[in-house]
Amino acid sequence: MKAVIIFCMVLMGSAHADIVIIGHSSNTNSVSVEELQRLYTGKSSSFANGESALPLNLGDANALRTSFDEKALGRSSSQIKAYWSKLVFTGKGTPPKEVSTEAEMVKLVSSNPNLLGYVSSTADLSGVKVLLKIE
Amino acid sequence: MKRSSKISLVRIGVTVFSVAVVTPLQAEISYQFNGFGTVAVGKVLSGDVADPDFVSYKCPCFITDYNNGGIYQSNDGWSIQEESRIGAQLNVNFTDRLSLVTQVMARAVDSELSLEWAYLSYDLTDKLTLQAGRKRIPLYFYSEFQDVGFAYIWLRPPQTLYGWEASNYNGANLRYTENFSDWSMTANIYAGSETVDDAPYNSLYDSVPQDSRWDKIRGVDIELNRDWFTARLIYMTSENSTTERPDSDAFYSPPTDQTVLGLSLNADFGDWFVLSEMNLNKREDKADGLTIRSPASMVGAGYRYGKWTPFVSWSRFWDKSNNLELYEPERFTDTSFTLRYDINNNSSIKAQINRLQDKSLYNFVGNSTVAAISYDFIF
Repeated sequence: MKAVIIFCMVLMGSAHADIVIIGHSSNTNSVSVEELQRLYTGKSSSFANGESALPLNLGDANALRTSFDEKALGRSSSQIKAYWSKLVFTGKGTPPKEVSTEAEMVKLVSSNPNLLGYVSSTADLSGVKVLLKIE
Repeated sequence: MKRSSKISLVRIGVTVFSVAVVTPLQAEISYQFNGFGTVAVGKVLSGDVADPDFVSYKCPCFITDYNNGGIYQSNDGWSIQEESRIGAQLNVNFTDRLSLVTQVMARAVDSELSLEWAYLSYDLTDKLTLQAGRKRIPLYFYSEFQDVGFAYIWLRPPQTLYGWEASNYNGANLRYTENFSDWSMTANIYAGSETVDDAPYNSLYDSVPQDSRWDKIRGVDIELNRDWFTARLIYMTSENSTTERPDSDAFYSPPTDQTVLGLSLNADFGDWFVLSEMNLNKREDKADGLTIRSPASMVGAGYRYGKWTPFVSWSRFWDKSNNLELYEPERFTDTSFTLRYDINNNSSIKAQINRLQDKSLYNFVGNSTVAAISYDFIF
């Protein structure tokens, strides 16, 4: 039984494995994984062309947040939280603003050229541009 | 006296905050309220000491926090008051560039409020930030967020390094951040001063209450990061002096010149990680021709296994005095084993065993084995 559940989880995991990094339809920048990590850890706040970049995050409760932290940032959500708590409580940084759903993420990113977000590749991507795909 | 002065600092913070609130510069003022806390219990399990009476403490005993005077004594049971604490922080962003950061701590060990941070921050450019007010001294790697247990692996950072009279200063700093290829760098220079009324550090060594002053604090800290590698270099000087209460104006003169040089090297490979820190503190009392050099070092390694992180560290503090009659060196090593469990993204539980070996040339705290368990959270 346990093996079946694990197998199903693996299948579900692979079905939702791809994460796409999205920007405004007018965004001409390409974003590398390294740049993405810098933007989401507060080490950089601009796109390659120098324009201001504001990353958006999904809330803690969202399963895609966990896989984004692990696959894109290479750390567990708990480690990322510990990292940000160091910056927040020394006044050195503020973590990315959080939204609760992927639909909200797409809507916000489609309306602001400075925003950067992520959704699963199966989401409705109308109005936004895919800047990077993470498998 | 101590209480009133601390409260008055809080009052200043509240006043600054109220002024900020009632004078909206524009509609876009935003606030963030966050907090963190630690509930910890600990106990000296066993140990030995030549003379059980050290100042007013029963030893073998274990100093958990030099800055705030936390100490587990041999005659105590499981004690919750030495390390438990809670902090609250309010950030007010007036504009994209101007903000105010205020952080207040309540510690069970002294049952009073202390203002840890209260400063204005202004971004001169995207890379250069000017800050002024009350801050933490960025002396060691964990100094600035030592109270935030959730942010690091130990139950408490090793007190072989993390313990002097002052932990904060009033002054100003200039911070510069830069990215080049795969490297990111932060450089910071700061200047200020700090007077600690009825210093908890001093009360660990002397039954006579003392005020402690670090004047003319000047320092620089540089942090370099690339992928798994982080290095941090610091240099700081200050002029230290004390006075016995209640004669709080008569600070000893000339002051003792303090120079601190430190290097941290950390490697984090995701599952495995290695932490290290080396530090040299030199204190020169020119009036008496006394020079004390206090090298301290720490090395630790851990492995993240899902929600579990076992971690071991070894550290040493080793005073060297050029005049053993004037100053008898304090020397000890501290080996610790920590097991951290991440309950969720906002809280963790840690258990830690420390084995302290006291090799001081006078009757200090003695050898001890100490156990502690903590619950750390952020909100």
